[in-house]
Amino acid sequence: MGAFSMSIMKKLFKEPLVHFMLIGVLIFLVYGIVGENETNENTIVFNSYDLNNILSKWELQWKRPPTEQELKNIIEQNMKQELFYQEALKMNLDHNDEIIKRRLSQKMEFLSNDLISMKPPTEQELLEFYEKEQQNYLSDYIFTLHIVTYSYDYHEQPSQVASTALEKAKESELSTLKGKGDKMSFPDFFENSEAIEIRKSLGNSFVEGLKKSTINRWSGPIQSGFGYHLVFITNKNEPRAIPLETIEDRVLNDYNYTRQRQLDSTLYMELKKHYTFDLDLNSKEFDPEIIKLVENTLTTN
Amino acid sequence: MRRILYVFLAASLFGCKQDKQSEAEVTPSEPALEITTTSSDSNGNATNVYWGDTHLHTTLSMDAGLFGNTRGLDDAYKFARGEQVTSSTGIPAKLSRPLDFLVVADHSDGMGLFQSIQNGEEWVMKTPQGKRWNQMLEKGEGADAALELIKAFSQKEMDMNPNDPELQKSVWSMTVDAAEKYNEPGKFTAFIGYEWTSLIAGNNLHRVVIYRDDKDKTYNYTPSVTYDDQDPESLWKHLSAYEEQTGGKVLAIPHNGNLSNGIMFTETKINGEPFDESYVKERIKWEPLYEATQIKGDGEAHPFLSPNDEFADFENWDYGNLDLSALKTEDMLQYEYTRSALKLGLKIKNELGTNPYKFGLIGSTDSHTSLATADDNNFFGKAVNVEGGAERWKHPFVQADKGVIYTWQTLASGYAAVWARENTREALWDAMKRKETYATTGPRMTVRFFGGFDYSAADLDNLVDNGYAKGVPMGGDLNNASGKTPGFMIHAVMDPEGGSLDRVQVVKGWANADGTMGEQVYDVDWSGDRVIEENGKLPAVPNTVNLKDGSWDNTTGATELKTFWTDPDFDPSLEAFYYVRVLEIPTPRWTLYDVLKYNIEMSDEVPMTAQQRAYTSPIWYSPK
Repeated sequence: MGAFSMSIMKKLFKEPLVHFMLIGVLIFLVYGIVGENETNENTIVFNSYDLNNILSKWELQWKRPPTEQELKNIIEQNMKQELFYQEALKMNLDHNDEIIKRRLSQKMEFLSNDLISMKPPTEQELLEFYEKEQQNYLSDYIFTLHIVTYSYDYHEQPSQVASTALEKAKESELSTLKGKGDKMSFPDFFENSEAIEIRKSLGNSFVEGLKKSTINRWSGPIQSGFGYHLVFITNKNEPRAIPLETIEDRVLNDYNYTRQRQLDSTLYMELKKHYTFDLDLNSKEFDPEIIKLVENTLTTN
Repeated sequence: MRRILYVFLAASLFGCKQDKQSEAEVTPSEPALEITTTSSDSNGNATNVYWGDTHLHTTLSMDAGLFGNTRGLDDAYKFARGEQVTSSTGIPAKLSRPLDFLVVADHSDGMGLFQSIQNGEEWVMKTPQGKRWNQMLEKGEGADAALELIKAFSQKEMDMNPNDPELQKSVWSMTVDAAEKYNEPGKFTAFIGYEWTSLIAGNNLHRVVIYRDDKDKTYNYTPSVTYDDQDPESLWKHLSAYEEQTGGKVLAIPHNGNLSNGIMFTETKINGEPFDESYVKERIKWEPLYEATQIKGDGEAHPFLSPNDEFADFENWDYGNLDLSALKTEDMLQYEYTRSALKLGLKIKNELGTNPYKFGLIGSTDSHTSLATADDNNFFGKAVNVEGGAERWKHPFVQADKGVIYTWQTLASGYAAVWARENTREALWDAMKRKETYATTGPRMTVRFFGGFDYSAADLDNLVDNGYAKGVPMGGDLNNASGKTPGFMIHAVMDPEGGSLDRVQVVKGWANADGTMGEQVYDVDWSGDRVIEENGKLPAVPNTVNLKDGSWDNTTGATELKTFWTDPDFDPSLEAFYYVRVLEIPTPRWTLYDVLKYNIEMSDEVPMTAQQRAYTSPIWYSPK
């Protein structure tokens, strides 16, 4: 079972001993020390791990331990599967089997995924990631502002009414327009509010307009779904970096999410470099465009 | 060659990266600035409306996986929180505004089964179906395999156990862990939940289950499945056992009564036995809400049941049951639609003392793409095979001997709006339980609805405070009029990103002493200077949508509508309910956006515009 074995793998990968063994195995492979199957080909090891595995799977399904007869049966079943598997391997029955290919390739993916959780980033790595993805870890704009609204509900041409009101007003004096305009359902004053809160009330285009407005003077008109607005911004905080220590969990999640995808694709790209693709396509059978596409796909990284 | 591979693997996995000494130059943010977030007024009343989707599927749902969804839990949460993700078909996807909460509701039956079929796991491949579906997947016929699987499942013709306990446990743990990872109290709520996918011979009895609790209570409690028992009573037993064993809290939300062929809101138990007191009590105990609108049809009202309501004919799906294995007959409709069920509940209350259908309303997507999209200009469809493209509108969504439902008939709907004190699992769940919620078909209009005996029009000035102080909000109860008439304060504000408002209506339903039931729709406030005509109808608002460029004129509607209304036909002796329906002016439907985007033509039957709408939870009146 894919998901199940995945979680077992995850558990295993958290065991330091398993780490050690895995690294050992990999080093063996790296230096090519492993010979061509020097052990007796007809020996099958059945250890406590295997037995525990059988027992716990049974108990999970049946909520009780197996009887003697049942245990005997599952062991036989498992053995039969293992022997058939070994023989099938010897007969090369695994070659060019689509399902086995897919499964093994997926195991490679799991391996890269699980290694992410196995090897958490160092503080330095996390910091580098955080800096690189800085645009994702900025605080929202923060505004303190007064809003005067000329709504579609009360004006034929709210944009003109707003422009006229702005022309007549002393731009730098808050009091000249404060409290004017139409009474609306949303507040006419936001104090140190995150842009997301203002977006919820007045929509995206209004907030885009705010970002462009100068502070400490009446400006506008800015359009929203409600009509046109004049605004007097007294405080505008541009987005700033949120300190890593306050959002470490989120950054770590993003790091793992990105790393998994990266590792997967680097692995693929890297492997691609080490293989030569020998194209053998009948040019009479296929459109030259298609052949070109296949070539490009296989040879470019 | 082989050696190179291993070297690379080892290096990339365990590689000791040289510790590059990068000077950490992170600009420290300035001293903590007090950010004002209003979440409740001085009386502790709910003053914030939170938006979410209570019904989203990821690749872990077996049908979603078969349809080609490769996006998992991370993508679903990231998308809902407003981040950009890449859809299964490679399209960059981002919401116009983030959602405040999300329930990933993967089908408990066969959770993770798709992955097992795809991997060709032995226990699946032993069965003829498993082998067949696996091979269909190999050949790129995943969508057809999905339809076969849904059909086999709904007709109980599966020849494998779709709910292998090991598989279930491992997939549930992934679901719970992801919710924990993305739940951020005050910012974003990730509920733990699932969908209980009961089908009786293709008749839809689905429920979404939502926990109030965290991992500590839910982790070891794998979801209830339906393969062996489709009766909702078995779900209620499961929920009850959960609460008893863990001290936690949980509720369930049914949906798509329109595909139940008359068994969603019955007058008898599912097994045909007559209702008894304990049955009706259990139903309303566990199911305080109903999902009234979603991609597979709008379920508020039906023109056959409400012939005098010219807006009842809205995106109804009334062809048959979920897999179209049985066609619809008119006698089924009364047991399928929100309004008729609310009426039926009053009648049953007169008979048994409890109203089993005293539910509030929410909308949600039921999207199977991991993307909770309900905006017409940003609609990713029901499943991955119709995420986009010039051809999607004519793709058959359900195809059976008895009929076809095409993708153009799916609707970009809806979202759940919840009035709560703060954005946490507890506060939102409590608001759902007390039904202080409403449904929309996608747009985020703000709707307030209060009922009481002591309001006057002057109370509108301070609507929220007066609303709570002298009466009840949506979802509440009014009892024993003692000579007074109930009055209602309603305030609807348009979605600043959407269409302006055509009108606000109050929908009233009641049950007479003789067992008959009645309903009436009142236009209570509207845009412009229209007057009600002699036939009692308010003239329609003009349709200003320009079919050439998708623009429309918001000045024909109102930015907000606010009114005080008293029931002119009040009978203090009858059980009744009142809910609000808010209609937007006509705006482009997703099909028009597709026409413009892909420069295509669609057949005449395909609607190009729609009046998006909101339905509030009712306020109930009882003479007792």
